[in-house]
Amino acid sequence: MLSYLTTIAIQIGVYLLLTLGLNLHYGFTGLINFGHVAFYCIGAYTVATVAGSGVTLPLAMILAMALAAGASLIIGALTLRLRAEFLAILTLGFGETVRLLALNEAWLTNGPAGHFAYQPFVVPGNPGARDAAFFAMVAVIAAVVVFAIQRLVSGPFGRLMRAIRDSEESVRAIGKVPVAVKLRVLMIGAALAGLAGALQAQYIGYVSPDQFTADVTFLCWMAMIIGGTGRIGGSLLGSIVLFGMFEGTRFLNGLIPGVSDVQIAQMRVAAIGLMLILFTRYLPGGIIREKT
Amino acid sequence: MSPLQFFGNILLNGIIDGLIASLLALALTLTFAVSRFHNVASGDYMTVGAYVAKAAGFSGGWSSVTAGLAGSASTAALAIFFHHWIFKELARRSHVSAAIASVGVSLVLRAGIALVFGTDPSTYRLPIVRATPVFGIFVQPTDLWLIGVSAAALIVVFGLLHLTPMGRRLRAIADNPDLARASGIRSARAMTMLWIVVGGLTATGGIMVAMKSVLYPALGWNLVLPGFTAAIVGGIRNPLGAVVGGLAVGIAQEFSSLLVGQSYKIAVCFVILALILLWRPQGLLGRIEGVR
Repeated sequence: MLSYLTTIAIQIGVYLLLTLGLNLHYGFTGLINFGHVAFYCIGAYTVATVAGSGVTLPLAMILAMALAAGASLIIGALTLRLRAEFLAILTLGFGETVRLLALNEAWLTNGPAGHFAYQPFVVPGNPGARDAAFFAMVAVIAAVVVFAIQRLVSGPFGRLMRAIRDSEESVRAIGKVPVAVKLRVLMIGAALAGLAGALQAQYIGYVSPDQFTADVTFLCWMAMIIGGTGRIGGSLLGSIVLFGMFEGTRFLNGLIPGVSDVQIAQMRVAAIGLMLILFTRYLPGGIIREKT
Repeated sequence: MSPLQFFGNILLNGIIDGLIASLLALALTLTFAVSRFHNVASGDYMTVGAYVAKAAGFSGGWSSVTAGLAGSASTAALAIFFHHWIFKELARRSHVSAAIASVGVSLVLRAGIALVFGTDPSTYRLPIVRATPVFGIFVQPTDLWLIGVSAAALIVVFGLLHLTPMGRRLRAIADNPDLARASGIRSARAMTMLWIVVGGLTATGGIMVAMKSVLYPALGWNLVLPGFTAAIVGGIRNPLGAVVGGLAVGIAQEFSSLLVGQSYKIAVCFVILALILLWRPQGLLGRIEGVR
């Protein structure tokens, strides 16, 4: 039971990082990112490819963040000068393109079979100790990230982010350059997704393209919108609710007669969709509303 | 097979795919022009139309007409329902939240279809016919039907837009909603008309895809990116551009698969999108316009 809870806590930590990245993009700055999974995927594959083959783990994780941020820079350079919707559509395509690359470029990614990733803290014969150590690492990283983002968004840069979200014209009118701010935000958020991917790959010990479908992106959207856009606490709450819902419905498998596992999985997807609809329609600020 | 025949067959396939993509692109363009948001669920409207047509006994001949109408009518009804429940209210707030809610609608529809009809791919019961060579290019009679019906659907919609009073009202709202209201155009009736047209276009497109290949729950979702790419390549808000863009994307996808293989079709869309945003973000037939 304890190891089950540790596993859930680690997953919540990974989704907290992902959702925080998305929240920086959309909640704070108004950048619509429908391809968040791409940065997560890049981070995961980076660690799986380089860690354990001569590159130390911290360096591999930094590389994962850098590559994810670099990829976002390309997307940003293409769209951030244009209207907001172009970013949404281009990121949607980018998420799918990165997954297709992972699926088809077998020389780099080993194709659909995926490949193993280095797992740190492995204690032979004692999986509980390994999970505990891993949880400690995720918790420390998440705490540092939350602290840093709290500093970032409560300072002048954070005010600029929110100002861009609310009215880009007025930001330009006071002589600031919105594109420069948006590019930086895009890179920071993507780096967080890369970090989340790096941690997930090390924890699972395995990466394959089917872990990186568009569903990941929409789970983050759901967590962010439920918890509250533009709130750091909202991302944490959203990630907890997300996993509460997932793990809660896991016990339904086989309990309802005549409903297969596949159907339960479909119902979950429908529930995610319904949550997105209901929250945007009836509770647009999420559970924890932004202070105004 | 001579090179001419070889490329002729590829071109034919590209034109068919392109016409199908332009049906979706036209639906997206009209939605964006009149209702002012990007409806990500449009692809799933296609899936709904295709499945309803199957349930209504689509099997070639006269049954195609009745089943096709049943598919279009149900899709239109569904689109009107979502308009009144969600999009009417959200479009008033911000087009971003309407787009996010449409992701939710997309997930609900896809999962709902999988729950009701199962996830196994199926096909329509069409009579099997032999391909006939025309100038050495192998043409399936079905292909001619696909081209004929798609072209007819496009002509009907353009006729509606340009030859009827309701079409004139729709174009007036697309051009300037405030002015349209000031001149006494009732937007509620025009909106119903819009969603009927969108329902017809998407359902027809969905049925075409299912006729050409197979029917499965993610059928329409997988076409959303080509659809958006076509709309942007043509110049979003320009109906004729949607058709030009659709044909361009369809033909480009078919020819590029010679170089990079079938599995990268979606990635090709991403590349086209990136290039058009770099080179001509207003699209081939679009005008440069200010942000309102």
